[in-house]
Amino acid sequence: MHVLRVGWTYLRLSALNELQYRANLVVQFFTSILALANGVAGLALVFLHTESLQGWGPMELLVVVGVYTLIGGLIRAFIQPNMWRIMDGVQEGTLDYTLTKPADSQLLVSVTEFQLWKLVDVLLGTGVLVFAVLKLGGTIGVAQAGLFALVLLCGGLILYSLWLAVATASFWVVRIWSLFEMFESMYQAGRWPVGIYPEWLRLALTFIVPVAFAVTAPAEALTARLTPQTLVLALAVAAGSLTASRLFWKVGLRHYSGASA
Amino acid sequence: MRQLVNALIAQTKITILASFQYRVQEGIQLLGLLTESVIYLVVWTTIARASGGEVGGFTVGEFASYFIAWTFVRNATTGWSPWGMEWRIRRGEFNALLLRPVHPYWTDMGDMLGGKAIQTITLVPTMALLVWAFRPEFTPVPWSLLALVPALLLAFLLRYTLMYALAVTAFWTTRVTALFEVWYAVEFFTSGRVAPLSVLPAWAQSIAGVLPFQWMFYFPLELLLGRLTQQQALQGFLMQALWLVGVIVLMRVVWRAAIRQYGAVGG
Repeated sequence: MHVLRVGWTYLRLSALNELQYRANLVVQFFTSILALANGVAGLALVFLHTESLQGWGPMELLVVVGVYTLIGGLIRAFIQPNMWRIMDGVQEGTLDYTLTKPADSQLLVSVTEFQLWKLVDVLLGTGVLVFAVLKLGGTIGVAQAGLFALVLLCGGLILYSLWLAVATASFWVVRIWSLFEMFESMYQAGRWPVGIYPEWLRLALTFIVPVAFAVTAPAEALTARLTPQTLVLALAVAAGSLTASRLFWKVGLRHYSGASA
Repeated sequence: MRQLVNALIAQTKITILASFQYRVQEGIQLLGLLTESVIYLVVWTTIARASGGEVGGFTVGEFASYFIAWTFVRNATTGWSPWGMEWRIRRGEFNALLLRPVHPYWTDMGDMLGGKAIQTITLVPTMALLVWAFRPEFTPVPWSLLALVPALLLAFLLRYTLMYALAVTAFWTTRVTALFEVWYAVEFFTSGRVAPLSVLPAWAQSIAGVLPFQWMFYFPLELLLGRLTQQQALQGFLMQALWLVGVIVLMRVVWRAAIRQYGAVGG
């Protein structure tokens, strides 16, 4: 309960702060729509030459684009700003202020910042999803929607754990920006279902940069493709990576001597 | 002129030496380049396989060679990022550059060339890995490979100068980002980056025909692959030269106006 209250308070504070800069909303809308249009134009180009890509039809791939945009928005709104802040904090010593607060440190560093306007991507992604699902003949039952939400949550948690682990690494290696950049460039691969990639790349996109869990699996859930194995694997990896990143954070904190020491 | 060349070479050397310190950074940049090309490669070879082995005049193996060669040409033609320019202007770093006797256009160019030299060293072995993984079809055409050298140089100059001219608009407004995103979106499709131009629908191909972007990317790429006749190659060089003249004029006009406009941060 306490956890939720702390999170909610920080969320509201950040939102209020962002609400001051309304012009940014317009810019964000513009860039997001352009990025989405780019993705859709790419799809249109592909389906000019073929009816299906490894068994995925146009509307099904649009579902993938929708999930990709949605998850990308969630990362940029909730995860990325906080993780950047951790790194800056280690570099500049401001992390010490957070650590001295009486709440759980991992909770605090994970909720301090929230970029409201990035939710535009979440909005657009959801819109695309709804459109594509309706076009597909739209009979999504409550069970299927629930399954989608569950897999999406797993994907989100796996991504969060990965980002947290990378940010934690900055206790040892201060210049860690490159790792984030690497993550972002690999994430592009999620625009397409990971099944189209060759084996070695598919493994990398499942276990190193978990695009498979974050984007492809939720899209599979919506297009009735999700196998029980994938579901179990997603749940297991989510639980495992959440625990591992928590432990890693604790180890990192013990190692961290603070800026003034 | 000699002074300019010396300044250019000096900056190239500085960047090469400096970047040896940031090998991880270089590696990551390379990874981004590779990820993008491998995504397109996989998508287009999958399509070609599904539609009887050929799309838009490209076979499966030719798509593979297209997107492997793509990494080489892309590395050679990336230009100064407008965001970087905006950042320098906002932080006031540009003041020091303007005080130097050499136009920042040249030192920045040296910086780019040094970076490319370094990148190429790591890029070539990775291209070999891609060749091993994706089995491209490629028959080298000697004259075409020779012609690639000036074509690549012109393509770089063209793209670099055009981007510089656009980046300089950051002197007026710090909200140019939106403008660049539109430009990138158009370039994305009409330069051959996302797919060979021959797979675009006819109307998109005619749009690409009146824009400069294919001369900055698709043309050298096709030369590398040996897909052009000698006459087409000559026409390509002519188009590159014409666009280059236009872009240089644009750059001079924009620069002159920008300098008059510039109020230094902290000044």
